[in-house]
Amino acid sequence: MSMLDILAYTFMQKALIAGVAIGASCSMLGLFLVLRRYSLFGDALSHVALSGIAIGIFLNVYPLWSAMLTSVASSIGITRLRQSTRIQGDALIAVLLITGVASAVLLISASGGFKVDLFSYLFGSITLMSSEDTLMAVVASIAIIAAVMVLKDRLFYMALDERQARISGVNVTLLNYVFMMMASIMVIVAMRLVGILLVSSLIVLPNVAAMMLGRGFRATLLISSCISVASVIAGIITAYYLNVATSGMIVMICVGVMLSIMAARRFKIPIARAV
Amino acid sequence: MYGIDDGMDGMKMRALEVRDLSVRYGNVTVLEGISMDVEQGDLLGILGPNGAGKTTLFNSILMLQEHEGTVGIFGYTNSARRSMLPFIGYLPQRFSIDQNFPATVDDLISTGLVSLKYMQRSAHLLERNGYRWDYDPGMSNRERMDEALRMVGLEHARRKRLGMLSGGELQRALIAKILVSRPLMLILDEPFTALDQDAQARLLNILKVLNEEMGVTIIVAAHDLMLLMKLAKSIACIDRRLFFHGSKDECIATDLMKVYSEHAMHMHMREHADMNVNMRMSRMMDVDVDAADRVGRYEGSKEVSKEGRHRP
Repeated sequence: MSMLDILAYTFMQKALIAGVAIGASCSMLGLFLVLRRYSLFGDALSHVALSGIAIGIFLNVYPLWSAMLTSVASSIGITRLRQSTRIQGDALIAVLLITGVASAVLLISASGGFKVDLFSYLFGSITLMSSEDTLMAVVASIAIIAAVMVLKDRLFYMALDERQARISGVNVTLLNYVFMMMASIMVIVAMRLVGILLVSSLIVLPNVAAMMLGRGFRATLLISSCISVASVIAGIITAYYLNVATSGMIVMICVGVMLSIMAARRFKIPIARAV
Repeated sequence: MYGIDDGMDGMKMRALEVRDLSVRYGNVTVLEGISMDVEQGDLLGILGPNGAGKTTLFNSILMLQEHEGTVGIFGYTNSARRSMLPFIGYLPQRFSIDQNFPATVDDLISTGLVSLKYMQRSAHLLERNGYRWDYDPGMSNRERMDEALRMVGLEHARRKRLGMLSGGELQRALIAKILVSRPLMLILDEPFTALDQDAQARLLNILKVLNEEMGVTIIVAAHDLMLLMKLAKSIACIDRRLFFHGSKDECIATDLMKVYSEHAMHMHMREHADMNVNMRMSRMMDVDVDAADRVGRYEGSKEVSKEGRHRP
């Protein structure tokens, strides 16, 4: 079956459109999470979202909405805690992650155990996305990319030196809330692509790879988006041909790209830091 | 010249006013009753041993630290001074950057343009109090960045990653980042530490040009009185309290060098004595001194959050 035949399928069209949008937004916002040493924040939020999904299934409402509410509320709470206490950022992420999983387990057991629906959220199911899901993913991704483009200088300044940014007039407190809320929305959207268990891969892997290639901040942002989008497209198509899980394939391609760049740098192949 | 003018009647205007500034962590007093004025166009050297409270004083001025007392910047006091903070270029004592952080010198300097935007917004407030800020609105951002790089002699390194710069180059890049927005005041916290002789001389020269030719008010903290005597127009000496503030001539007349050398020697001996006592105690009690110190600071800082203090 040729590539064009694959693209004739509606589910593949939807998967590719949503995948490209999610891949680009995840890597762009993810760069700031990585630079601020919040790489695992996405992982923690996705586990909180699991409890949100469990609430949705339990109450019989659309699980993505309940997951988004839970995730946004948690991100606001964690930002507040970070600003008002002296608990380290990584410890706060651990608290969030544990609380998310524990509450999800409780709710799932209360609702009579695991259901098929839950597995699609755990491991991703981009090829099963409805038109509404695709539209939601595209709109949310465009909104996140637009917000990053508007705020990128201030977000970069905060990642470089939060205190200096505060002195310069940046409303660091407000921007922290906005940033964390954007991250939580992004996590919910990305969950459909790679699943709760692998959501942080799209945040971390393209950016770690791009940071080895790009010299400056803007180049790194661009390279990261390209790696992410290319991995998502290659992952979806390869998974179809090999008849394996799409989420796992996307992540393994990201890992492959990262390892290839590391090897190129190790053996001084002249691709490193070209931009 | 892009600094601020003298007042209309020729009297010097104050860039900074500090009144009865005190900082306490629980029972520990870090600064007590500091009062001083800094005139516009002054180049004030702040002298003090390690732990004298120089950084705490700067943090208090810059609203990064809770404190008692009043601080005014360009005529705006206490929380109203927040709108004036972008007009201050601050060089912290330490700036560490991960070698893999994807930022070039150009990227760092472009963050100074963020300050410029906020300065443009607050310029009318500054003018309301009689101060003037000439930022040359016709200049493009690229021209501003080029000018700042030229001033510190880093044109060749604009595409270098920050993690690849030497200590002196990073220091100059940070100064270029400050200069790109044409601040009215610089606060530099021990900028000469970890610089070799050449880099120190270069920095001295940059600061003199900024102060004398461009009229920028500069406050610089250092341990080395001789270095400050070469640079500053006036000297303040602090060690938890302000125990001298005057012109360079007054500094020489009061034989501050002798007083400070004796004081510094005394502080040095006291620090070593404290260290020896702490080490003996830690061996006896089998505790980690650093960890105990951190806990002490944390416990102390919790008690500072009371009403009536200026929160950062």
